[in-house]
Amino acid sequence: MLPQNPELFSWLNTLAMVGWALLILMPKRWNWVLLTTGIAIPSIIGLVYGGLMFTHFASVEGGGYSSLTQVQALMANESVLVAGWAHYLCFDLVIGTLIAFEGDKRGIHRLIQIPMLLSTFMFGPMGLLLFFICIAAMHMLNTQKAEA
Amino acid sequence: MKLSTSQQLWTQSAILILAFMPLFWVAHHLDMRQYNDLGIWIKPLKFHVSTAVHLLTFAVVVHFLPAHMKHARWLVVIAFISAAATLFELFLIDMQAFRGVGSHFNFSSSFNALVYAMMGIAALLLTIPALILGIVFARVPSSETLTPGLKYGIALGLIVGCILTLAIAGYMSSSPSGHWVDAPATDQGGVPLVGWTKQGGDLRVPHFFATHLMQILPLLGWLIDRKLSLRNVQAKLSVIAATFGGVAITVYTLLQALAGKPFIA
Repeated sequence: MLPQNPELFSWLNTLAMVGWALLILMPKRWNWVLLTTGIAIPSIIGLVYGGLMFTHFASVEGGGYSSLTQVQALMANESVLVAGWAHYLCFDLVIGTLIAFEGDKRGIHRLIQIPMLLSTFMFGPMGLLLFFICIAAMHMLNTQKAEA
Repeated sequence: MKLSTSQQLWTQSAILILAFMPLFWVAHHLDMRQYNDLGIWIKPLKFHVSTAVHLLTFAVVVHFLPAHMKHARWLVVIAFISAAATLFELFLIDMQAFRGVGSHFNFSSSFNALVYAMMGIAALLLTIPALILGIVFARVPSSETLTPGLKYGIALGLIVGCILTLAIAGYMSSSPSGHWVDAPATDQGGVPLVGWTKQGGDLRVPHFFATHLMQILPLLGWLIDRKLSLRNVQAKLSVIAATFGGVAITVYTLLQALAGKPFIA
């Protein structure tokens, strides 16, 4: 028996939560942490997403991507809505993993990474923006120091 | 010039804190909600600027410590605690703005009162490192980089600034009318940028002067050493005189606020 949408939704949420907990709490010198949050979990979510979209996307009356009304029609379908949520979960976690990976590489302290990761977890693109602004500022400071 | 771990912690947190500014600016223009008759995102904006300045002050003064102390373990510990406390303080202030309610002086529910209490603890943890650093600077001998005026500017600025800030903020937090004294509870029509009321006393004025002694006195000491060719004792005495001046301004504005009079009418 295939899981119903509400169950599927909470499984996906739990899976993503595990990913974020690993990313924020675990020492990242363990390679498997980033492999799990950056590849394994997003792949599982991607698989579920693909299945849901293949099954339901074409059958939504008036659905599509090119107007707000079409997207609204899509999201009114519960299965597509779960898929849409899965899309957020998957991409946010990948972005979070990239922020953690790049942050470590650039010497951004874990204490400073945590607010960026929490922002990405809660409000996706906002965390990404914070990360971009920070690395731009740090890059400018470092170039200035190198010139001085 | 390579930054020490403590300097990295302070600089990076300050950068992250400032990175929020564009977001607040956009939110300020989209969000119609108000608190004390002012856009709800003005307060986070102000606190992000002032705490970034606070942490950057620490990062800058540590540059003048002797090399062996710059990398000391205790310095990393206080950098971590103060940076974490600052990020937590801002998280609470931003969260309350997000929810459209007040952060300071908000006892309207047990949750809001708990948030305010935690803000008090965080504020203490982010201010106390100034006192510790100030004491360290008072004990470190002056040198080529840490010239006498600068040394006493940092030491006195951090110690006196920290003590006065804690005293005034502590008094303010227990005042039933908040930071206003005999003034209508509105932020509308206040002094530009800082928002102090023009219609009565505002305890945020002495808080401002007390807190910014932490930047003004070190800067003054630095300028005295660079611009005036004074003997060491004279430089030291000039900074001490300036400290008395700073304390006098703080006390004067405190008494003025307590008397219910505006700083700028």
